[in-house]
Amino acid sequence: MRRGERVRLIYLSFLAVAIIFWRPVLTGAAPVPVNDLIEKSREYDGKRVTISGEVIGDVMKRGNFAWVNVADSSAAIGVWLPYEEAKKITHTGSYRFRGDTVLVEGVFHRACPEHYGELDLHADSLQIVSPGRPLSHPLDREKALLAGILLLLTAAVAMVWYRRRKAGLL
Amino acid sequence: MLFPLAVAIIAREWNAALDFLIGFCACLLAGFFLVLICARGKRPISWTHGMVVASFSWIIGMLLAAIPYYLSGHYLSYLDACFDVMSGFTTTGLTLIQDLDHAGYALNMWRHVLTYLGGQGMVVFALTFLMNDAGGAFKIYVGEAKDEKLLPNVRNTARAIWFISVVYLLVGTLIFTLVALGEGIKMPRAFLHGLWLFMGGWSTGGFAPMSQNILYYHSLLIELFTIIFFTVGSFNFALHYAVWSGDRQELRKNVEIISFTVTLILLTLLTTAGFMKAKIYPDWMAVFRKGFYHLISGHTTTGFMTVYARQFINDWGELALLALIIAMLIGGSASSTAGGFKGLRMGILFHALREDVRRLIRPETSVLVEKFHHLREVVLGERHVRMALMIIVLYVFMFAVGTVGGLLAGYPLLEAMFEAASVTGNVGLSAGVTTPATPWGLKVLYIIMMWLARLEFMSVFAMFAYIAAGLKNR
Repeated sequence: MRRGERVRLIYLSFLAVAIIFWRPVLTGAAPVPVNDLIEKSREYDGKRVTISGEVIGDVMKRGNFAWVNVADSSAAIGVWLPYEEAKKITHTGSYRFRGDTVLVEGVFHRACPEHYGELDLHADSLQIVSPGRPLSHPLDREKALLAGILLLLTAAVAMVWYRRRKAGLL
Repeated sequence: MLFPLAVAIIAREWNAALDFLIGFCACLLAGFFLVLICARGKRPISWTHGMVVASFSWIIGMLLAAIPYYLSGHYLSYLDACFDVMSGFTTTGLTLIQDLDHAGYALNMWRHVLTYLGGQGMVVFALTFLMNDAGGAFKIYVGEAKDEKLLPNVRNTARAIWFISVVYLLVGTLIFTLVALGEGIKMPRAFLHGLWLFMGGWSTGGFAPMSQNILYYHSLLIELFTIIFFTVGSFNFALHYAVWSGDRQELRKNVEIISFTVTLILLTLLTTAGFMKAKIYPDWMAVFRKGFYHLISGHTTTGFMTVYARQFINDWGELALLALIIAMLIGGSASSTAGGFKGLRMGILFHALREDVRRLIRPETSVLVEKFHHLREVVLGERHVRMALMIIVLYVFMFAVGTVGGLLAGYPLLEAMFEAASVTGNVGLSAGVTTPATPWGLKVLYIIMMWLARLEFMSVFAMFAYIAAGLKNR
C-alpha cells in the first residue's frame, strides 16, 4: 500500500468513527435532555450546553435574531440565535412535516436577564443533523368504512324521526 | 362538530374529517335516542329537572365530544380524551394530549371551540341557537351556575351573552393575529394562533396550540394582550352588559371588581415577597412576566403559562406558591367564564364580617343595614351569607379531597395541593401532576371535580338526588 493510500485510509477511518459518534465529535459534549435542563436548572444555569431535537412550529424572526423552539423526546425549549443561523432551518414540525433535527450549542439560562426571566438557551451555532420531511397521513380505510355506515344509519334514523314528528307522534 | 369538520376539509386533513364525521353521527344518533325516550314526558320543567338536565348534559356532552379526540390518535385512552373534553368544557385547561406540536388544525380548532363554548356554557349555547321553547329554559340555565338575567327573557339573555362574546372574538382575533404576524409567525398560522389565543384567553380556558403554552411565543405583547382578554373574560356577563348599556360607573362600584382588585393586590405583594425571599428572578420585569402573569392567570382561572410546570415546584418557593394556590381557589366573577368560589362570595363574606364588627361597636338598639353593590344596591341578607358560605365550604372541602387524592396517588403534599387547587378552581396551571402517566383513579377524580366546580355543586347534587329518588320509588 502506498503512503498516500495509507493516509487516505487512516483519514477515512477517522471520518467513519466521527460519523458514528458525530455528536460528541462535533460539539465536544453529549446533548443534554431538555427535561434535565428544566429539572436541574440551577445546576446548568449559565453553562454551555448542547441540545438535540426537532424544530417545532415557527421560526420567529426578531430583528437580527430569531426564536426557535426545539423539542426532544422529553420537552421543548426556546432557543435564541442569530437569524443567519436560523435560516439554515428548512422544515419546522407540524401536522404535515417532521421538522429538521438540529444540534444546538449555547449558554443555558434558568432566568434569562436579557429575556425577563425566561428559561432559554442562547445559541451561537445550529447544525442540521437530519433535514425534516413531509409526514404522510394515509386515509384510514376502517375509519372511512365506519363513517360510511354511521352516516347511512343516521340518515335512516333521521328519516324515521322526521316522519314521526310530521305525524305528531313526537 | 361541523365547524372542525369544515376546517378538516379545508385543510385537507382527511382522517380528521372522518373523526369529526363519526363524532357528528354519534351526536345525532344520541340526540334521536334521547328524543325517543323522552317523547312521552310532556310535564313542565321543574327546578329539579332544570338542574338534572344541565348537569347530565355536561356528561353526555363529554362522552360525545371525546370521540374525535380519541380517534385522532393523540390520546392514550378514551379516559384521557374525556378528561381533556371536561377540561375544555369547564374552561380548566389541564391537558393529557400527546404530541400536540404535530396536531392538525381541525383537532386544535375542536380543542379551542370546546373551551370557548364551555366558557359561555353549553346550555347558553343551546338556548341561543337550538331551543324553540323557552318555557323552563331559565331553570336549565340556572342549573349551569349562571343566574344573572341580563334581559327579562332568558333566551334574549343567552343571546346577549353570545353577542358580547362574538364581538370580543372578532376584536381579539384581529389583535392577536396582528401581534402574531409582528412576532414572526406567518399566515395562515398567525390567524389561527390569533383565534385560538383569543378563545383560550377569553374563555379563561388556558388551552394553547403548542405544548409550551404561552411560553412558545416568547412575546411580551402576547402576554400583555392575553392578560387583558382573560381578565375581561373573567368578569360577570351582567357587568359586561351594564357597561355596554352605558353604565360605566358599575366598573368602579361593583363588589366583584373591588374584591378582585383587593385580592389581586394582596396576593401580588405576597408573591413578590416570596420571589424576593427565594431570589429567583433578576429584575422587576421578570417578576411581572413570570410572577404577576401567573398570579393573574390563576386568579382569573385561565391557566396560561410562561414557565414550565416543574418550575413552580423547583423555583418558586412556598410563599409564592401559597399566594398562587389562594388565587386559584378564589377565582373570577360569578356568571362569567371563570371558575373558583368567585369574587362575589368573597365580597359578601367581607360585608357580613363588617356588619358583625359594626354591630359589636354600635348600641344594641341601633338598626344596621349592610349593603353591597352588584348591578344595584343590595341589602345584605342572611340568605346571601348562607349561600356564599355554603359554596365556599364545599369548594374548600373539594380542594381537601383533591389534595388527599393526589397524596394517595403518591405525589408530594405541595404538588398535590397545587394541582387540587387548579382543578377546584377550573384553572389549568399545573405542577406536573397531570400527565398521561397520572393514575386513572386520579384522572377520574379530577374529571368529577372539574364538573362539580363548574356547575357549582347544586345541579350535580340535584341529579344524584333525582336518581336516588327514582331508584327508591321503583
